[in-house]
Amino acid sequence: MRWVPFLILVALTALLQRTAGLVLTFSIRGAGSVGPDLLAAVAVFVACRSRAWEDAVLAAWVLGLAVDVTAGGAGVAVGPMSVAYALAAWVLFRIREAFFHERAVTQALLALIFCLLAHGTWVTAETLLGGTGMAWADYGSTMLQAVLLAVYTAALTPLVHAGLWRCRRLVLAAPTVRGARR
Amino acid sequence: MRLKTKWTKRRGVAAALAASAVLTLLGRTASRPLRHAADLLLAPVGAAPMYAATALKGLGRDERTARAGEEQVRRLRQENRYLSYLAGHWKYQHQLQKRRAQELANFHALYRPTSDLPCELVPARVVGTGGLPYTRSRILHTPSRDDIIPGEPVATRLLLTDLSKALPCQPEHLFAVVTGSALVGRIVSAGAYTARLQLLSDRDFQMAGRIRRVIDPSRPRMVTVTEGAAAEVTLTPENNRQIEVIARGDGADGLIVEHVKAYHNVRPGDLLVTSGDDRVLPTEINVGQVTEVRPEAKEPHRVTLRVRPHADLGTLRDVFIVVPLGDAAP
Repeated sequence: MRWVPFLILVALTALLQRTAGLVLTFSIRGAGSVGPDLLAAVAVFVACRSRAWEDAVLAAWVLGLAVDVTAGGAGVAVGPMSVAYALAAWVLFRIREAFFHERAVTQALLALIFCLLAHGTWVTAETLLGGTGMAWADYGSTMLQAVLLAVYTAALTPLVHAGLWRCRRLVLAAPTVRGARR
Repeated sequence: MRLKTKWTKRRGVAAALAASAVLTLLGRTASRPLRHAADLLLAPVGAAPMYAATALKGLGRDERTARAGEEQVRRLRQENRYLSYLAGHWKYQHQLQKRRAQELANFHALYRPTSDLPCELVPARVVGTGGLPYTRSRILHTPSRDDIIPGEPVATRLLLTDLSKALPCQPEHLFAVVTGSALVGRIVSAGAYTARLQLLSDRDFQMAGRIRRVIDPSRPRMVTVTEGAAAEVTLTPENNRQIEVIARGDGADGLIVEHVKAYHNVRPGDLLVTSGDDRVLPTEINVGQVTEVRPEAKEPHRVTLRVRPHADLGTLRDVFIVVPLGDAAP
């Protein structure tokens, strides 16, 4: 992993999520607002293509932290999303060999799994923590939102991956001689 | 004895997860400064993309409106011709009344109650949205002051203000947030140069308001007047009392008002306004329009109202934070 370009990518994606995300967000009656999680799409890309599971988990943790600090209401704690992202990235890293992740359908499926894991965990954690943003009375509807978000993100993930594929060497390429002994 | 530890990625993962656990346990103590730091970092660069995003979103809406209004255009043109004819008549009447009004102006200036709100308007601009759609919030960039407190009302009208005054902080008051002509939400957290605006449609948003029933002479409605002996009468300006309600965000794009007595006969088209009794926003401001009236399943004598906000929350751009002054200050 090249961490400096990766951090720039995270900042740009977070910025895009907070601004252009408005255009992509729409309302469904009975479910509430539904928008994509672009940072999750990046996390899936990294988890599918990083060499070591530590890289995938650390990158996902950084992305989750970016979601934590840029999203959510005032009462929502920072931390659960980074753990949820890291957990989901670890699961994705473990199962990625079972998928041919160059295909768009597979990328969408992996993104769906990732988002369901990460956002499901996050919604549950925030509800348990009892921040002002979440309550058990809204748990069902918030989970429905999370599922719709996962589907929406999954639909957009192949496009995000196509864009990231062009700059993969900037972010993912690792020096080949790292750790070599003299 | 010195203990040598080798830094590995695996330890990095462990440290990261431990940091997350600590941040989670710290809760708001950690989340507020971290979020404000992130807001400060992203707010300046967020203005331009947000401008593009709101413009793009507004463009789509304009197109829809234009397509939907094609038939109305012809009717409006006819109305315009008729109104042009009337304009001449009213111009003469206006001149007549103008002289009379001039005579009364001094009297009004001396004896009328003051209509100005004792408040300061702090201009702010929407520079970002909440990253995830679970809460409907917007990040505000307040260019020249760092003392915005949580809960201050906001409004969207550009106004120069005195920016040097410090504000008393009472976080238990989560005041309303308004645009130039309507309420849009409230400030739920604030830091230096940034503030977080909770929109009306957020499911955690709740406000005291009033339903103002619109009287349409072509569609008279029967209501039950409860003063004195209860009786069913036609709604007139004399008996049209505003109905006090509690409205809350529906989590999507509007508000919900529950448990409204059915005998008030609220209809789509009626207006939801602020109560005017709030000491931090002591005025009546439009909130939205009733779009649907649905009987409640458990209580058939009560209805649930769905309200569409007056302001277009999707294309919200420039707003003002209304800071109460003097006796109205929290």
